[in-house]
Amino acid sequence: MILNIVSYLSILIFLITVIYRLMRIANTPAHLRWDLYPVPHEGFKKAKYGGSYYEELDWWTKPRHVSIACELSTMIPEIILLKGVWESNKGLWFWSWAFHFGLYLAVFMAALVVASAIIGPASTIGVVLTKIAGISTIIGYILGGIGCIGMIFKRLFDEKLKPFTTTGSIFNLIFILAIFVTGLKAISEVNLFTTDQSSLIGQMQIFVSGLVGFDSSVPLNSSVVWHIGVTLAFMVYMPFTHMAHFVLKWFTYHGIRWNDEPNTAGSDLEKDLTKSLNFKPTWAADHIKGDGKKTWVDIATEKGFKDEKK
Amino acid sequence: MKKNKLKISDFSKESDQLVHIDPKDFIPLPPPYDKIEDEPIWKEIKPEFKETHECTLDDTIAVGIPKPKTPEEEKELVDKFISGLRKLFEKENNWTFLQQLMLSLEHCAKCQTCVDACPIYEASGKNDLYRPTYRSEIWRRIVKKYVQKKPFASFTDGDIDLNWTTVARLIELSYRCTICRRCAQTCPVGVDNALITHELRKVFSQEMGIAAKEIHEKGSVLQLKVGSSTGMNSEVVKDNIDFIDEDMTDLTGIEVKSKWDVKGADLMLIHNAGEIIAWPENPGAFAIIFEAAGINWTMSSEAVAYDGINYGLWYDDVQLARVAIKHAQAAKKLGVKKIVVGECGHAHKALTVIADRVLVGDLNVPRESAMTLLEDIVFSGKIKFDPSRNDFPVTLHDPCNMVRLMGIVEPQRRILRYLCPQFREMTPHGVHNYCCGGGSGFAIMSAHNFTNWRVAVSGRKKFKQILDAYSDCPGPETKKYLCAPCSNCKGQIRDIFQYYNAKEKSNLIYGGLVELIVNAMVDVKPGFISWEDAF
Repeated sequence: MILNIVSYLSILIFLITVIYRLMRIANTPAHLRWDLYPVPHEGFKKAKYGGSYYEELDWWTKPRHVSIACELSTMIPEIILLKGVWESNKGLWFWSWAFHFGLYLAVFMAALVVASAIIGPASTIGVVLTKIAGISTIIGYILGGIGCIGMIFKRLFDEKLKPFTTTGSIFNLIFILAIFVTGLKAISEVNLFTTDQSSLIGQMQIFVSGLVGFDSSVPLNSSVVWHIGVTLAFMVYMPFTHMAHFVLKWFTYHGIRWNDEPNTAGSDLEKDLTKSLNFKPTWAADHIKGDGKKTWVDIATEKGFKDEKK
Repeated sequence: MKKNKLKISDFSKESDQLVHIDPKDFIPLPPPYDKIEDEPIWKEIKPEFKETHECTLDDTIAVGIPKPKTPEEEKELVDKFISGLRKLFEKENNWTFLQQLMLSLEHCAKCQTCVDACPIYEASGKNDLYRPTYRSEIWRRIVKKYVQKKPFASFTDGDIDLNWTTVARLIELSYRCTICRRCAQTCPVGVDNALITHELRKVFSQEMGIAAKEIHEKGSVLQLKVGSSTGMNSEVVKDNIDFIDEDMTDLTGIEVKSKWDVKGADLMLIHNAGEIIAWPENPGAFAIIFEAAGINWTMSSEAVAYDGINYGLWYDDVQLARVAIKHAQAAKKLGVKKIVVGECGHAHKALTVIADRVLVGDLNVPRESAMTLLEDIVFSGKIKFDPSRNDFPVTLHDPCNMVRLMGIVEPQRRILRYLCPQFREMTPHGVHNYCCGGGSGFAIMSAHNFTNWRVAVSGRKKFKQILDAYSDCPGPETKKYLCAPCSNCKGQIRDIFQYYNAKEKSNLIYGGLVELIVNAMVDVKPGFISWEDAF
């Protein structure tokens, strides 16, 4: 009963916090451009060397081509293999990759558990999903655990990372390590590869079915309860930290680095910018003297210069 | 054994100087520049200046702010700093960069993946003070603890003391990064240390009225007041261009006449006015090429519009907007079809990319790079070329603003591959280039001993890269040309070459792209580019 209530609350807090953080960024005003090349949606040919539409004569008269395929070909190796870390920080790569890939597999397992619980674990598809979930769990938890331990050591002893290691960053890693450790402990106490209810995946399926069906009477092994409890606690905690980059990274790439949308007459972007130009800044330096009454337009145009020259 | 063990907490502790710079730590340059004892001796900062100004960061000074006289004055400045930081997170004050800043505040994983990408950090011998993350981490901790007043900030994000020492050092430290954004390119999360430098400079300028003199008082303020940061008013600039036209006519044998204020011209060319003073052959070469290609072009003699610089790009959104609007208004007044930005990287980015979201309505005059237009002219068949006139080793410097930050990579290369038989690339190049070390205003900053720092430290990696590109012909017996299509970069490269005597030791000169184009024109008298006349 308590576990189910805690689960509903945790999922709710997780979703609300993540959506809040997404909306908070999405609702910031249209900003000045801050592109950084290569920009993959320029297409395979240009992205290879970092070219942009500015390389074309009278670029504003030409149609803009946006290559989703090229974007995906950049994003997938980055997400799955942490290509950027491999290229620029090889000493950290294995630990970071193991850590992240372990988490991906854990999330993948959770998705398979939910799917198989809904489809029915005894069905043919359910059995296949259960087996894949089992494999994904063991690999994911071992990899993730190794990654966590490696990252903790790196953060504590690597000369490059040590000065920037905070108590919070070690706490975060230990928290995630606790998920993997409690998961591995649960695996050691219940079967993993059987598809019945005594296995870890089976227990998870019972738990998910109970959540979906509002049934709190399901029997769970205590080590599984611990594992679920730690995971739920992390779900509540994580969106409040920098680890929310798992979703907000979309903005750092698509909203900023790769945001090369030109401002065109009559566009929605132009309308948004016009609104922002009418904000009333309060910057206090003598060459601005923002008093909260003059707009950006006033300050940046002739009126502003005249005031400044006085 | 690494000497520097700088902690974040050291930054707020009072001391005579936070770090010292030792040339022995610098990355070595190739022969004959490899002897540390041959490194020019750094100019001493005058003791009387040190007594009255904040000089406690490293061995150089970029801003040089006067020391507050009383603890009350110190407190007032710290409070202003906090007030400015707060405004960075308000949409009314910082809609321009709010989203970028929030993301860079909240999502750094402190993985240090970015640090080795920084040419200043690397060239200094990995001095911790110049780590791109060091400055950002201090800023982040201050914001979390003193602006957001986040519960448990010291536990989750790390502790920092905010006092006048911290602020005074941050003012200087915000001028130890060229904002080249090479570090940002490597960040797996998309966090941007250069943006944090930019925003810090904005707080100092927009709230506290503190900025490097060369970019504010003698830069954007002078440009808005007189018309150009060079101090040239409209009449002087026209006179100077007349002289340049005469010189170019004599030098090339082609009648050169630059165009001013032609209503309805196809394009308005906008130079960095520094070219007119320091490298007159550059605007001259543009005029020769445009005339030879039959382009219907003009320049504007309106104040501000004959100088493409926009130093606000590096430190102040208001100054940036003021200058960009003046540029666009001049083009609108002339009724030209487009603005073409000459060989100036930061002018490219300021007017084309950044100001794109400032210029709304009829001020949104199309703007493009001279690189694409020049490519079109060179390959149009309108001008005859003899590439053998450029048969000497040429390499290309990629200005960060034009290349990494705008994606203009190939047009200039296609020209060089066609017109320069011995063209060779640096390693790395294109969007992965190294900054010249003069970015974000450094090239025009020379007070005290800042030139020593910006050449020996921030420009070191670039100088090494240039020399490595000529490793097959390092000696003075081979004439070599570095093509740098950016005024700011040329200013920095000029200083690097003079500092290390590269003309004498390596017979190495630098210049723009248009000079190489004119040098190869069949109709022009041979010898437009001259090693003898170079500095």
